[in-house]
Amino acid sequence: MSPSDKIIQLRSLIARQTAAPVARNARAETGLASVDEALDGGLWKGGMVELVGAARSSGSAALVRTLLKHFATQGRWSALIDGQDCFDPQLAGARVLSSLLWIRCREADQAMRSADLLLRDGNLPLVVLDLHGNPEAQLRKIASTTWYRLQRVIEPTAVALLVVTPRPLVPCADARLELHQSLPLSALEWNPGEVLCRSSLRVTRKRSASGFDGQAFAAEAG
Amino acid sequence: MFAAIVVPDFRLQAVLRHAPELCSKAVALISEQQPHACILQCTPEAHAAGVVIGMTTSQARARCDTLIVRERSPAAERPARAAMLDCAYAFSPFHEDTAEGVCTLEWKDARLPEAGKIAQAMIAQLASLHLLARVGFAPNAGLALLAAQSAKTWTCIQDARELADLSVESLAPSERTLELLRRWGIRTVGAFTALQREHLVERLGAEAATLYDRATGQATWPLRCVLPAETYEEAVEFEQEIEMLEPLLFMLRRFLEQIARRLETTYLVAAEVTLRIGFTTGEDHVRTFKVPAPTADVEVLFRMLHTHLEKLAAEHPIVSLHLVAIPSRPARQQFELFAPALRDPNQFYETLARLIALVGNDRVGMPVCEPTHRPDAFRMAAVHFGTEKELTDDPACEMSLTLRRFRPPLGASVQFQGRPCSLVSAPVRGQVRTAEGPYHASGDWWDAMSWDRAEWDVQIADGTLCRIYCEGETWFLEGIYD
Repeated sequence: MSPSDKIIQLRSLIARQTAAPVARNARAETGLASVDEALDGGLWKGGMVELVGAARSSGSAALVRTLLKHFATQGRWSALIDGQDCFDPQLAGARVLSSLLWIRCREADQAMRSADLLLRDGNLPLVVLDLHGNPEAQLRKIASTTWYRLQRVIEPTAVALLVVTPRPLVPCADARLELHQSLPLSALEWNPGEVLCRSSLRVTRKRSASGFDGQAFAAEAG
Repeated sequence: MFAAIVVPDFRLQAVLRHAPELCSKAVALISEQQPHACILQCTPEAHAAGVVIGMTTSQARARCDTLIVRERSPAAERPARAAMLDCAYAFSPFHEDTAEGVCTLEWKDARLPEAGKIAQAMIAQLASLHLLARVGFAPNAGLALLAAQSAKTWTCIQDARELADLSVESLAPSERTLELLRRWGIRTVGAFTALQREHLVERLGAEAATLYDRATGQATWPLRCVLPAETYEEAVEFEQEIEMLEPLLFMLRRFLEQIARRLETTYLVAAEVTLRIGFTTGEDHVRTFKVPAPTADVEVLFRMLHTHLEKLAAEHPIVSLHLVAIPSRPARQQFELFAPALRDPNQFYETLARLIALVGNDRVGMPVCEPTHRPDAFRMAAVHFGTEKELTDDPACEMSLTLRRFRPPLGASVQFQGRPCSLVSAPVRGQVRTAEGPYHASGDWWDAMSWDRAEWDVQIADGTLCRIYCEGETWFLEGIYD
């Protein structure tokens, strides 16, 4: 390789590494008015949002289904990385299934590696990483550096990543949605839209756009 | 105007196409690997070392100890011949597969002012396909062939008299006739045509008339045109068995480079690639790859094959490799408007292959519900980004909460007094606060997949909403509502 070729290759490498990321203000609507309002328009494109289902049966899976349905209605594809193979396609609806890539993992480690592959690929606009059903022992094995690495991977893309967890787990999420209260048995009779209205959703956002300290979350909406 | 492309020592060149580093060495070609096999063709280096066509291998090795002997490979000749025809098609749709290593082209124009440029382009294109060729232009097919045989690289002639210095062997006489001509001292075409046609026929028979017409440019024929190739293939039979991935990948890349060049000459792209690997046992491994966004990009095609080969475990060494590409026209689309569902389909399908390698073939794809009421009845379908249909959701999907299933359902211990009172299972345990049910469900009683059960929706004291069911006398936890 001639020196000029090397220089050209080096320049293009630097250009790739330092390429301007997707505008931090770009958002992907969730289809849930209250969430969109709290997040200034929706999920971050090129960012992570964590959905914490702190209480069992608090409606986190229902929220994910609503989000997938909203994307499917707009003709956009989504990927669901199912950490414990617990997604029920029969309750998702044909519209959601028609534009859903479902990855049925056996454990959290597989799910994390799948997320890494899909985020590097960058073809699908929404990736949902569902770790809610995974045992605590598996979740503890996920090093916090892994989340920062995923953040680096996703930054230059236009992919929105939603991570569903049973407890706060992602230190570098742009925002965290927390569901604290279990729903009553009568919730099975409610309309799908009622679940979110009646559940206690708390939205917290990262204090500064450049900070990566997971402790720097400030309560904004309740 | 006609042109003839001649690839000298075609069989040898076909074998050396995928080993170009041997072209500058003393290499000889034999028909089959036997002690008394004769040399069919050899490189100029071998010839300079004293190797003569017709020698046995041991005689040739006695003259040149560095001689590399290769066996004739019809599998390698086929793609080489096809590559030559692809090249011809790029210059004229009227082309004929005249003979082994010979191709004739026709243009309707009587004169070809840019013959030199065309010839150089042809030679360069064939060189990129690792074929060294000579090109001859003439007013008819017979003369063009003689012109190509007489040329060092290319030549253009208007009259047969310009070929007077050409060796008389170029007319392809029979052994007997050639022997007689040598005895008469006739070594060139010019010396041959100086004799009268009638006198030659009188002494040498009917063959002399054909040779005379060929030498004077009167022998010609209408071209039997061939259609462009429907598949693009490259093949090799290895001299030594291959046990590692690296040499296989090395050869695959070369194959893809050759196929990509041939596709480029015809302005096509690869829509499907079939890989066939032959093992020592005689078994084959065959795999067809659909290229999501048809392309002639070597890197994209190579990554696709590489990803597959990385996870392929072969029990026996490899002896042959065969790659076939089915071409298609490149897709045309108006950018931005009517944008495709994926930004880079080839990249996506490669990621998909990696995901399949990671989690398993049956665990990645689009879920499709089976047309039955059996719980958790679904199958995984391959991902396809087709045209969207108007879909309507099943009323069951209008449930407010969705179920996080356990696959398979977990065994549970339930105290039942008219309704479930307490539940004990691995993930959930406690007193049942409220319960609704039973909801009876059964079906498919006529086959092995039948089910008959009573379902309950229960809320445990800690707030967890579960679906449990009783089948026979056994209780199961099917999932948690969320």
